[in-house]
Amino acid sequence: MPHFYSAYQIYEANQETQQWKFYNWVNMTNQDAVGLYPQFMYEAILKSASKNVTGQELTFKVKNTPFPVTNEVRKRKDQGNAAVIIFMSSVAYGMLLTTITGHVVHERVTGIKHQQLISGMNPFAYWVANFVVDLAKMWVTVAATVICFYYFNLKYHTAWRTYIAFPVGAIPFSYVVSWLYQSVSLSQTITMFLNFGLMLFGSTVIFYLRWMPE
Amino acid sequence: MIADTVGQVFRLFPPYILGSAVHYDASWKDLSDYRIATMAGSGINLDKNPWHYTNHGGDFVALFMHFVYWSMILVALEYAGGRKT
Repeated sequence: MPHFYSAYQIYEANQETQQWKFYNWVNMTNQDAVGLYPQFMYEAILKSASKNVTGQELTFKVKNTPFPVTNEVRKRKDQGNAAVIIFMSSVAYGMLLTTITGHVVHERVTGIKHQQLISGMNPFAYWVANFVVDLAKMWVTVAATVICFYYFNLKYHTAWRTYIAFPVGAIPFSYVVSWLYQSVSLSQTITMFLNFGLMLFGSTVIFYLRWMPE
Repeated sequence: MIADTVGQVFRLFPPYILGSAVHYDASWKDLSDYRIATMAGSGINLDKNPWHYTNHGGDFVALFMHFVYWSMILVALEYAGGRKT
C-alpha cells in the first residue's frame, strides 16, 4: 500500500526496558488501511521484542479479510444515486417542458396562432407539427440521459424505457395545461414548479411511504 | 397499500411517473424483498423480475394513456367549443 495512507511517529522504542510506543495516523479513505497499518507496526514490535528474548526471528502473519459492503450501504448508495438523478432530471425535463409550454402560450397570447389560423392553417396540423418538433427536442435529451445511464453503469433495468415514453405523455399534457395561462411568464413559472415538484418531491414522498408499514 | 394507491393517483401527472420510475428501479429488489419478508400492511408483493409487467408496465401504460387522453382534450378544445385563438 502507498505510504500516504498512513504515517507513524515512534516516540519510544527501548529494547532494554521493552517499551515501544507509537502514534499511527491512518487515511480513512481506504477501508483496508485502518486494519493493515497498525498491524505492520505490531508485527515489527513483536519481532524486535521477541528477538531479544529468544534470539530467533519471530514469524507472525495475520490475514485481514474485511466484511463486504453491506446491503444497507449498497441500498443507501443506490437510493442516493436515484435522488441525484431525479433532481437533475426534474431540472432538465422541467426546463424543457417550460420552454414548450412558453412557446405555445406565446403563439396564442400574441396572436401568432390566430394569424396562422385565419390564413388557413389546420389546427390539427398545428398541434401535430408542434408535437413532432417538441418530441424530437425532448428525445435528444432523453438520448443523452439514457447514454449516461449506460456510460456510468447505473444499472437501471427499466427506467430508460419510461424516459423514452415520457415525452409522449408529457407533451400533450403540457399543451392542454397551457390553455390555462394568459401570460408567458406565468405559464413558464407554474410549469417549472409543477414539473419540478411532482417529479422530485411527489415521487420521493411516495417512494418513502411505500417502505412504511401501515 | 396507501402509498401504492396514492402513487396510482399521482400517475395522473406525467412528471411524477418519471421520478417514480427511477426511484423504483433503484430499489425494486430491496422493496420486493422487504414486502415479502415483512408482510407489513396490505401492500402487494412485488415480482423480483424487473421486466415483469407489474413492475414497469403501469408507467408505460399510464404515459400512453396520457397521450391519448390529453390529445382528445386538445382536439375538443380546438374543435368543440374551445377558443379559436
